[in-house]
Amino acid sequence: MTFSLETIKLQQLAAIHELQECNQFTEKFGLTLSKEQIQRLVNERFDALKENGRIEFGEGVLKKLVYAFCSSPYLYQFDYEDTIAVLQEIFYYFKNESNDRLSDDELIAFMKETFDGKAQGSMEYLAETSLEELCRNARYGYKPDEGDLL
Amino acid sequence: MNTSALFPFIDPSTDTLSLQDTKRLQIKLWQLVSYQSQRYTMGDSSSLRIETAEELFTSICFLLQLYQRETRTPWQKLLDSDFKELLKESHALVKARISQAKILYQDAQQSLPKVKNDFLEDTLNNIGLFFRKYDVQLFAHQIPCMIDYPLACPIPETLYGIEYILQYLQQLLIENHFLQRFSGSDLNGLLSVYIPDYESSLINLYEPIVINSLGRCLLTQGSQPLNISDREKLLLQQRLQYLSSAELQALSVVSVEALANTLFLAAKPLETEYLQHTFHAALPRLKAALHAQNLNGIFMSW
Repeated sequence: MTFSLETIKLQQLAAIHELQECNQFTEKFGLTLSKEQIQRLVNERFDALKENGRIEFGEGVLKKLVYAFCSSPYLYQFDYEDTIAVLQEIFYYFKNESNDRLSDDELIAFMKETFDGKAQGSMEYLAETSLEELCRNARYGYKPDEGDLL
Repeated sequence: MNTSALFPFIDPSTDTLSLQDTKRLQIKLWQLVSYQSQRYTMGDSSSLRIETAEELFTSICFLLQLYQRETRTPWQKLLDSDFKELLKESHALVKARISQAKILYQDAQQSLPKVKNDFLEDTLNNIGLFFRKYDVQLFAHQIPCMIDYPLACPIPETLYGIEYILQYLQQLLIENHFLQRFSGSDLNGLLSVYIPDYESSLINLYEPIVINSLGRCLLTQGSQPLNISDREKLLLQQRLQYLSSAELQALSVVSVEALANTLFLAAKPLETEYLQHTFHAALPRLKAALHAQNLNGIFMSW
């Protein structure tokens, strides 16, 4: 499927606009993204999608991630951009790993609860243990271990 | 930008789009894929695997192309339409074809030849599943069943979804109607020589019967019984061996017409044309066999 740059440009502009709007909400948590950071995150979104063999329509997941994670006690202004970028990458990776059986909201809610809970802000723990298990459970239809959410 | 690559169902020879129109088409298609992806995920996911998006896109192309072909509206004009509406109207066209195919399916089940073939039975069972699994809304181009039984004239690979099934059933019915004109013992006798375990072999039942019955017509002895004796093969060899390809071709046309008359198919041009096509495809083999002075692999004796 080949689409011209027009459609991609339109998507990028929409994504930039969405993130700029997020700043108004995240300010109260001491978190903001500069124009350059927003541009980088949006570029990384397309890279992450491409790397994971996915395509996104309409509102991207960046806005949802920012809204979900901005209240985390483990998120600081100095690594805000990097954390969101990694979360975005992890998100698309685990969408695939779960065979798309988890909705965006379910996956983000699980990521947030684990990040703030068992993982205590550790991205490695989040990605390599909890999410692996969650997706395995989703693939085989097991219920997630409730302990994971604590 | 290669329009045919973007929109594989547009025939570039009849409908070339300008660069501006191509861009408009891309944006409209993008919006439509986005709309269909929302329906696919039921709003649960903003992203899709590329393969899934490609399937949704192909389905859209299939539906729009069907609409365009049916209404004969030029693409330039269609570009001004609401694509979601076009999609709905295409769904209605597909549903009409499904109803048509269901009738043909029933006919096909009721007109099976008087001999058994596992692959024919399996394929018919699978077409029954097709009607249950076919997703008009999202994956209208797919054929969610196994079609194993080979027809004498293959279905063009340019047909998708219900169009493929419809064509398959139409051709299968032509073959079934032809085979029904012969007794079970005649069919069994010929097919047992053609392939001893024909009941469980992946073969087309129609073609060998057509060839033998045309052989009988060439002998000017009607189409039945199907058996062609060794002596008759010799007669055929003598009659046909010095004919050029063009003469053989002309003779085949006359013979097919004679056969169609004998079997009361003359009033059915599609069936006669199908016969012609099948025999035409077998002519190179006949020519080679005549050259080798051995018609055993062409005409069956038992």
